[in-house]
Amino acid sequence: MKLSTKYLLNIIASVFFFPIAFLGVNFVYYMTLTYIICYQSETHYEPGQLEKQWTNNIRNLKGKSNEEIISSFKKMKQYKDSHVIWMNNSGNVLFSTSPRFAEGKTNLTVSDAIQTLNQDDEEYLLLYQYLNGKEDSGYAILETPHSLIGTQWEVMRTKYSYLWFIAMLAVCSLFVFNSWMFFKKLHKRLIELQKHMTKQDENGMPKPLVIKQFDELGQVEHSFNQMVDKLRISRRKEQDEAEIRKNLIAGLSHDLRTPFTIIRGHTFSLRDENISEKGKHSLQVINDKISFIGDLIDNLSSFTLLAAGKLPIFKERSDILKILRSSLSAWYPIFEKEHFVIDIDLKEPIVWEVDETWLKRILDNIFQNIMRHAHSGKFVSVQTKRMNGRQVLLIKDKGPGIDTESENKGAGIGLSIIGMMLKQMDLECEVKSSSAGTLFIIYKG
Amino acid sequence: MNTILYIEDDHEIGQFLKDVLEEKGYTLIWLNSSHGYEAYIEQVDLIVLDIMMPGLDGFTIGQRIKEAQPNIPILFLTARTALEDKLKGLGFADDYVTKPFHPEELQARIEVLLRRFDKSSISEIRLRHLTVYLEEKRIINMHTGEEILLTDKQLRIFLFLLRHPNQILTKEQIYENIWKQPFIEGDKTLMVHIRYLRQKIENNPNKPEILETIRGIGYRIKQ
Repeated sequence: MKLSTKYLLNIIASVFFFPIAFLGVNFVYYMTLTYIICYQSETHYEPGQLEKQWTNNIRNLKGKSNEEIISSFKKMKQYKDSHVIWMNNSGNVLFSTSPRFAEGKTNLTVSDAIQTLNQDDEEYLLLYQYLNGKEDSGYAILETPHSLIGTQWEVMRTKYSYLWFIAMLAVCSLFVFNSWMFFKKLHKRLIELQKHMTKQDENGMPKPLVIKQFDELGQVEHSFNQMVDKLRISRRKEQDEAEIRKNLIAGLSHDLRTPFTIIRGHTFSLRDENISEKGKHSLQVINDKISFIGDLIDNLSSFTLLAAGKLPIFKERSDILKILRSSLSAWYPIFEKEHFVIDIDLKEPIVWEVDETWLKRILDNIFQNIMRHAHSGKFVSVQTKRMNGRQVLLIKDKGPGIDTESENKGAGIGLSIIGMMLKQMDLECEVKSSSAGTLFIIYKG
Repeated sequence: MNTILYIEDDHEIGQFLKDVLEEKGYTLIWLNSSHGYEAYIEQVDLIVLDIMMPGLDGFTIGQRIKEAQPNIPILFLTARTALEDKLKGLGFADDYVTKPFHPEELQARIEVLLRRFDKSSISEIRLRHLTVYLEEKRIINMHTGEEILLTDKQLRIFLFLLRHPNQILTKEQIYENIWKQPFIEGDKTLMVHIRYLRQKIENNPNKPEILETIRGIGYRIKQ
């Protein structure tokens, strides 16, 4: 059902509900009152009857002494909820159960008496009757609360009217509650929808929703699901494209490497031939260039993947010294062969969150650069220590510096790869280069 | 000498490597594709595998061979240089050499692998004044003619380094291989064992000639 239909139905139901509820409440209320009346009688005075009774009572007291009259007043249990006042002609209150006319009050003028009585005209029904006693004569006044005047039915109705109001209020609240529930449900579904939209599965994609109700919100959920589907398809497409690109690069790299391998094979075979020193030197240069191009192809494909964010990274807390030693154990013989002075001093144990293969790749690039471009310095130093309170990894050479034109150019891409990889592992790298050498300072950013 | 199975689809590279390795004294079985490699598995000491080949690729073949014969070392010789390929290959294979390769380097790596898998046809090694008989695990001091007796741990450290000649082994590698426990930075146990080992095998333990210390990295036996 549509939400708007539901809402309209709610409104219509409440419009019709109100008069029905009114009738219902009244019905129940009067039924209850009737029931109470059957089992419990309530003090009540019917006005005509009360007056007749009062007149009779007073008439019976005619000509009696004050003492007799007062004791009679006291015996009149039928007026226990009313007040009886008797004052004589000279303004003295001879008897009173009313707090406003203190008994024994004297010299009350007529106007005083009337004024005091009239003050509560609203609240009380006043009945005056002239009483001629043996000693004193004056008005006997019966002061009865209006709430007790009427049939028993009327008195009860007045007494329990609050119940009627409570019942009506309850019925009205029911309507308010119903409306509130209607919006509360809507609100809850919206919140759930919003929460679900921010949730992601392991691929970083939102999950499709289970549609329970086909109203306007259900349509929104349906559209959301369609969107998720589209997103999934495009993500898959993107992954496929990345895969194709990766394969293309891998294929290209492979196809370039195969002929180079063959060239190297032939230069190797040539060594056994009888060739001059100059020829041997040329062979060496060819060999070196082949290695260089091989590394360049490698770096180019890494760079492409890295720049596209397609090189997988698995960061974990790693012992940096272990990685350093493992990398150095491979490079040591190479530097040694070229008669480098190798200074390794791993004093400071370091644990960083890195991808081990990435860090090795970075070290490989740095060492390779030293081998190629800082060969003349014949020096390499690797240190870990504390500098300015932070743990640092230092790699130093005594080559001609990065800015100097080296015989083998192409260090740029290697350096870019180092920079990008370090950045993705939240490591900072400072490079200080001068004609006296280059210093790499790597530390946690 | 050792027999090597070499699977490579490129004719020129295959022929070249066959010539080089045969010249070094290895017996080489060279296949153009993975077809029919199973027939030779039993008789070879080492397998050199290319990855990109028609039919089954090198990864698949390598995995199958490792499952069937875990004791045959596998060396990948490939133009696939991507990091993931290297990791995938080294997941089960024993070495990974990328093209274009240096023939001498390849041969050195083959020799190391054969040694590591105790397949080397070399039965004795001469190290300065020592002769080591690998099969009997005996070490003779040639100057005195006496046998050098090592404790179990010392012998294992010595043989482990000997099985990786000219290779620097890090403290972690040695410790974890011998003690089968993770190495804790600053642990002196290995250092102490090396000191006692040197007292037995070196002429002058203060100036070791056989068992080198590579400061900051680890140890090496040069051959």
